[in-house]
Amino acid sequence: MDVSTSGHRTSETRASFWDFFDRTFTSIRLAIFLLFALAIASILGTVIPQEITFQQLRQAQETLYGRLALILDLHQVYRSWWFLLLLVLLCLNLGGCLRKRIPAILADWSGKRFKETFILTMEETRPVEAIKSLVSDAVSGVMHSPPRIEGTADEWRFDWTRHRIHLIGFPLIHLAIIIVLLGALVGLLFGFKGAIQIREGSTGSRYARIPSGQPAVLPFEIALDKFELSHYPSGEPKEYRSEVRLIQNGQEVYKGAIRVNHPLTYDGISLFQSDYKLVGVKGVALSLEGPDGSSHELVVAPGVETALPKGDVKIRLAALDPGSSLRGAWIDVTIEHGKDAPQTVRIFQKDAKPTRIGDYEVRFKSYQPLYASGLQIGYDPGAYIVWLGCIMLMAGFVVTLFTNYRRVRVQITRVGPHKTRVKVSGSSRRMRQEFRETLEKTTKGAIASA
Amino acid sequence: MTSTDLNTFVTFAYLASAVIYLIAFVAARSKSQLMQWAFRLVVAICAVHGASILYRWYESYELGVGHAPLSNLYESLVFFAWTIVVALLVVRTAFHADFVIVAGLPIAFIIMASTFLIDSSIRPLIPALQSNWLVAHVVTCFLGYAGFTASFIAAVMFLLALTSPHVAQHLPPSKLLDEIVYRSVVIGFSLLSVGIITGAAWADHAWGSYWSWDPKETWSLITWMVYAAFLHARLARGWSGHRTAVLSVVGFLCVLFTYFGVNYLPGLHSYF
Repeated sequence: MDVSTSGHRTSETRASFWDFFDRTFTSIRLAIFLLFALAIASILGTVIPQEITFQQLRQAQETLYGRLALILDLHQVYRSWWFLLLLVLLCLNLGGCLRKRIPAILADWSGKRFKETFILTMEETRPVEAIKSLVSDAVSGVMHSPPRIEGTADEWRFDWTRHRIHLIGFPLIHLAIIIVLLGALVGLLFGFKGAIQIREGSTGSRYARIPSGQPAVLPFEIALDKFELSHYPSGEPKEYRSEVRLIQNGQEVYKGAIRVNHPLTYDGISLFQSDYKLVGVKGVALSLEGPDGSSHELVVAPGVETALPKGDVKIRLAALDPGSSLRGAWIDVTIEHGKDAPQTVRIFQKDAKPTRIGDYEVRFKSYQPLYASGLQIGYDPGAYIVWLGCIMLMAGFVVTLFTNYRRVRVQITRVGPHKTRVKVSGSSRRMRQEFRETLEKTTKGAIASA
Repeated sequence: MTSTDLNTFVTFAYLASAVIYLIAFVAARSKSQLMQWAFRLVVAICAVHGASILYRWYESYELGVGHAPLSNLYESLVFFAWTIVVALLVVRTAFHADFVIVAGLPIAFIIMASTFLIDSSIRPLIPALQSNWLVAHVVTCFLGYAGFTASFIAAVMFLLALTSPHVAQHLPPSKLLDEIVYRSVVIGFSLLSVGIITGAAWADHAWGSYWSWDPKETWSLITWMVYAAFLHARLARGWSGHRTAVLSVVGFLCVLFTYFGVNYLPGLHSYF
C-alpha cells in the first residue's frame, strides 16, 4: 500500500512539475521578459568597462561593491553565468513555444484543422446545381487554384488552400534562433581565438589565447617573409599585407599573402591581418660628402660595424627613434676612430647642418623599417551551425513576409424546396480585412450574375 | 557641380516641399490637386537625391579611390535621409496617408542639413572597409532603420492624437496609424535581421569572429530585441494602440543610439 501511495505521489509531483515547466516555457510573457532582460544586460556590457587588468581586479576585491560586481561578473557580462542562464532560458522558451504550436501547424498543414476568421452566409432561391459552379469558379479566381470538392445531391463543399508554405515560417524562425545559439555554444566549447606577432624574416607558432591571454602553440609555423604597408597619396593607409609561408613538420605547406579583409585559412584555422608594429630597422641610409666633394651613400645595418669609405673610422648604429619628437627621426651613431675612446653622436633627419664624422659631412637620409605583423588566429567549428541558423532565419522571414496562408471553404446546402444556403468561411494570416472584403464581393457578384 | 552641391539643393528642396505639402494639407481637402503635385514634387526630389548618391559613387572613381558612397558619417547620413524619404513614399502609397510625409520630411531635412557641419570630401577607403560586404551590410541596415523611422513617425502621431480630440481631428485615423506603426516594424525588423547577419558574415570574414560584442553590434542586437519584443507583444499578447506606439518610440531611441551614440564608445565601427 505504502509503495503504491508513494509511487502515486511521485507521479503526481512529476506531473505538476511538468505542468509548471510547460506553463512557464510556453509563455509569451516570459519571452518578452527575456528579450527585455537580455537587452538591459547587453546595455550594461556596453557601459561598464569589460576588459580589466589583473590589478584592477585586485583593487575591486577590496571594496564591497567591487566584490559584488565580481560575483555578478560585471567585468565580463557576456560571459557571465547569469547572461548564459538568460540565453538558456530563452532557448527553453523557444523550444516550449515550438512544442506548443507545432501540433496546430501540422493540423493546418494536413488540412485537418480549419480555424475560420470569418463566415458569410447567404440565402438563395435557386437550386444548388444552378449556383455551385458559378461560386466555385469565382472563388477559384481569387485563390488562383482549383478547389477540393466533396458533395452529395443536397450539399456541396469546396475547399481551397493557398500558400501552405507560409506555415513553416514560424517554426523556421524560432528554430533558427535556437540553432544560432547552439552554434555559438559549439564555438565557445571547441573553438579558440588568439593573437600572434611575428617579426619580418622570422617564424612563429606560439600565440596568446584571447581573452584569457594563456600561451598556446599552433600546429604549424608561420614564417613572415615580408610585411608591406602602403598609403594613399593623401596619407591614409591603403593596405597592410603580410607575405607568409606556413611550415608544418619542416615542410612548406602554404605560401600566400594575408591582407585586411582577405584572411588565409589552413587546416580549418584562419589567420587574419590585424595590426602591425614598428620593431626596429633593417638599415639606415646615410649620405656622406667627402673633403674632395665626392658623395657616397652608405647603408648601415643595425649591429654591424661599418667602415667609412676612406680613413680608419668605423661607425655603429646605437639607437633609432622613428620620429616621436618634433625634430623627427633620429639615430645615435657610435664612432670608433683608431684607439680613441668611442664617441656617440645623435643625428636628426631634419638637421639643417650635416654632422662631421672623420673626414665626412654626414646626413641621416632615411631608414628602412622592420615591422612585426600582428595576426589574429581563429578557429570556430560552430560558425557553420550559426550560418545554417542565419539562412533559416532569413528563409523564415521571406516565407512570412512574401506568402500568406489562406483557406476558404464554401458550403452550398439545400435547406428547403426553394431555399439554398451558401456559407463561405475563410481564414487568412495577413490582410484579413481585405481578404474578407474580396471574398464577399466575389461570391455576391457570382450569385448575382446567375 | 559636385554631388555635395546637389545635396545642398536637395536639402532645401525637401524643406520647400515640406512647406508646400503643409500648405496643401491645411488649405485643402485630401486628394486635392495641390497635394497631388506636392507628392510628385517629393518623388522628383527623392529621385534627384538618389541620383546624387550614384553621382558621388561615380565621382569617387574619377578621383581614383572608387568605392560605394557609404564609407563615412557624411555619406551614411545622406543615404539615411534618402532611405527615410523612400520609406515615407512607400507608406504614403500603401496607406494613402499624406500626413506621414508632412511629418517625416522635416526629419529628412534636419538629417540632410546636419551634413553641412561635417567633412564632405571623398576619402579613400581604409583597409577595414575594403570588402564586398560593405554595400550589402550598410544598405540593409539603413533600410531597416528607415522602416523603424516610419514606424516612429506614425507612433508619435498616434500618441499626439491621444492628447486631445482637437489634435486628433487633424491627424489620420488612429487605426491607420496603428497599422503603419506595426507594418513598418515588420519590414524594419526583417531588414535589420539581414543587416546584422551580413555584418556578422563580414566580421567573420575580416576579423575571424562573427560576433565580438563590439558596442555597435551589441546595440544593434539590443534594438533587434526591443523590436522582437514589440512583435511578440503585438502578435501573441494582442498589444496595440498606445502600448505598441510607446514600444516603437523606445525602439527608435535604440536605433538612434546604435547609429550615433555608439560612436562615443570605442569599437570597430568608430569610423562611422
